[in-house]
Amino acid sequence: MALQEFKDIVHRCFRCGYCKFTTNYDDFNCPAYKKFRLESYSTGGKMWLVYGLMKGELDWSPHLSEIMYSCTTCANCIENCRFEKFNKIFVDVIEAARSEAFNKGLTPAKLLAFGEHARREHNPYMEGHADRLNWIAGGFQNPPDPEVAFFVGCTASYREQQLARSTADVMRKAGVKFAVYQDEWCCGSPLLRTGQRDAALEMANHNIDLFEGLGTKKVVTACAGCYRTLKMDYPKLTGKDVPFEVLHVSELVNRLIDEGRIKFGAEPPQRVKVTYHDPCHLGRHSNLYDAPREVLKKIPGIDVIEMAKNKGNASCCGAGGGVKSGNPEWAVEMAGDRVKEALETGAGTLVTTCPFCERNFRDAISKNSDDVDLLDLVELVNERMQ
Amino acid sequence: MLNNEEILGRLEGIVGKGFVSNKPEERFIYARDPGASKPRSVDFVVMPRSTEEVQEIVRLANQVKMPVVPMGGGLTLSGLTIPVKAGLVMDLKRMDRILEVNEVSRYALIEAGVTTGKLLSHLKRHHPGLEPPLPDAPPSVTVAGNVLIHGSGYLSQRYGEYASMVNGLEVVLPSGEVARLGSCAVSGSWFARGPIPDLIGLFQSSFGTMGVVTKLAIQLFPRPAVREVVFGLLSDPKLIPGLALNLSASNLVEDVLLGMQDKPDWMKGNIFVMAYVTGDSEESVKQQVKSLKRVFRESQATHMEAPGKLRAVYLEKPIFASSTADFRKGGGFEYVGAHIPLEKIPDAYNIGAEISRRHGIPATLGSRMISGTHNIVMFFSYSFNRADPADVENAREALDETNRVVLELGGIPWKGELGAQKLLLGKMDPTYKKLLRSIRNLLDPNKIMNPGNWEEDD
Repeated sequence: MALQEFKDIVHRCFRCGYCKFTTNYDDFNCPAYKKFRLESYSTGGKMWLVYGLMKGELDWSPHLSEIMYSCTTCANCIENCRFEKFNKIFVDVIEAARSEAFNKGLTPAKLLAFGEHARREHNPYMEGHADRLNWIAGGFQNPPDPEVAFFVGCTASYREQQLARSTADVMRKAGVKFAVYQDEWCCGSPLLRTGQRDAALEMANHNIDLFEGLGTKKVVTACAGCYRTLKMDYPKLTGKDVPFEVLHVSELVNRLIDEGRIKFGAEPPQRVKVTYHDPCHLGRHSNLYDAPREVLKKIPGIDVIEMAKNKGNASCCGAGGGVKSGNPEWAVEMAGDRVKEALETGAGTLVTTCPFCERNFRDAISKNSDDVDLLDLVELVNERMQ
Repeated sequence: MLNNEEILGRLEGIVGKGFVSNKPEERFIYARDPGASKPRSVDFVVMPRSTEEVQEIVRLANQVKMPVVPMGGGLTLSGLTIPVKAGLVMDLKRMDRILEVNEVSRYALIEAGVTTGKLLSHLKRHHPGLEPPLPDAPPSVTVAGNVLIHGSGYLSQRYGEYASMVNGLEVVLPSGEVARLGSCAVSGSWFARGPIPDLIGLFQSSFGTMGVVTKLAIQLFPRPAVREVVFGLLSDPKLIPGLALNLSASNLVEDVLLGMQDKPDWMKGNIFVMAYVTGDSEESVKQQVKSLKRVFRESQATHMEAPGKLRAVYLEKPIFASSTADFRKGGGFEYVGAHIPLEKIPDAYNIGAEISRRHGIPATLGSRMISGTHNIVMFFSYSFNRADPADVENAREALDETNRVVLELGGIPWKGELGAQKLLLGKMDPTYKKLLRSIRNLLDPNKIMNPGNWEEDD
């Protein structure tokens, strides 16, 4: 949506500050406000700045752009704002403001660079499109009539390839007839989050056409960002319903366990303490909290210990909204804080369901030499599966 | 004299580059608050982390004769943290450490930027037997800001105004010196306000004109095991004093809120009563509720069974008071808070409702008993559409008219905006005014501390 489309609502933000907090007010949970502390960086502050722009009392500037891009789009504000009549709009407003910044030539260079690359090579990682399926050792033959299409996503295709392999392994062992496609493009999430809407729309149209052309009825993804984008953003972006069901792999795995298609080995001699990080795009954005937890509880020998801040109250890993590219040190700092919260539970394993979170956590664990194992839920399932 | 770039460099040297700004975006945000005040100019925003940094900023401000406006949550709604004569807004929210909680003497020693939300949460987790004073405001307001504007809240009927719950202050004076006030001036403990000449009051309701409060000790109170809210209805504001006196005499209530609003229609003209009782068990609270209903009957108040949802709204701490802000789907409201003698409260309700209706604003009036019936704090709320300049101006006019009515009734506007301050000074005893001015001149000869406030002339 264009920024002006919010002109009749954005002024209703009172700037009361609930958006900054955790649900019990014990800490600030808005990553940008927690880091920068000036009111302008809070969500309420951003709404007022946007209103200032709309009224012509402020002009676009590099600093205004920096403020708008200092948001991980984690939706903590949506979770905590008490004004139910308009609190759903915050992330959309920030993305629309970024889109306007993009049109004004004020998008940070690093974000522009991945946007331009994605238009050429269909991924934001500066990799070649031809290498998209390199994670499959020895090639892969799609079945003639696949049950699901596995939307691998760019992070798992190029950076967290063990996740792509684990997801494929789990589906294969469970007897799921799945297909992967060389012609899959970036879902568009990093483009959409950073205001590069036209490029995101290009990606969306391509992927929809691809699956529609193949007659795909079900798409499964192992990435929280892809999940949110395919399921929630594509209809808004393209103005039409998406002609296939979108599943996160945790939902699929949970179903497969219940159907008896995934079976685990005997309980290991030592139980393992695991804590689960809710990715923002899966949790607060998509309200998908239960499936990953149910899967964890169904794996023999696993004790799930919740972090103090969990589900809608979870800390953001810090990677989203273009921050991992635009401000990588801050992104790793946030991931480090979240890893500390995980360690406080006494768990030796941190599990998540988003390769982008996983990647950021890995960087933080490496930087801080934290003594914790890091796994995606599917990797854990694959390890324990018969 | 230093130019703005040199001042910026000096401020960055004190607090670090990320915590000072003179950019249009921060100057825009800090030039306005959620109330109806017109935006005013800001030169710098700075966020110190320690008392020493505050001292250095104040010394610099003295050197360059730049106004300093201390700010907590920035939610007074009456523009008290918007500079009148430009200068520097000192946002204190990085000073957010809870330094001590004394469970025996029941106080918390905190920095000036600690929010009420953080203190509430900290006590729940680490000292579950204690509760803090909490205003009817979002959790983002600071404890210091609230007590320094002479706040009150849900404990005030039983224990008094929140302003009186301050045991001690650490203040950076306009000279840059640090003063400790209260028992901490003499003792290592922040357990009491006196008994020494009380200078703490000088820093309350003075809106940052006397110095920058950097730490304070706030009294804490035992958390009851059970709290219940009982709703009642009065058919006429004339009945309020009788009910208030009876409730006070009963010793049953922790807090009493009264309200009148034009919406929904059945509420129009009626006074809504919310009385809170507390106890150590469900059974004891049940007994108190029974007694309370009797007091209601004797006071011609009808007991109301309220839906569970409403009960939950009023039992939440802090209460979600900001819903008023969106009554007109415009995100704005401001109220005249006023301390008014009990005998004038019926008049205050009737006149307040009449002012609201004349301005086309649904009447939203409320009041709270303080320390029995020794004082009543009244709220005349005016919501407005922030996007409609005429509507905002209409609210300003209603606020101004209300301030005048409050003074005519013998009341005192609370945390008043500039207009209210001028009206108050116009009525103030000349010797009181002279004394106040003399103290201010003595402390702040360069007039750097929030100038324009508590001044008759611009």
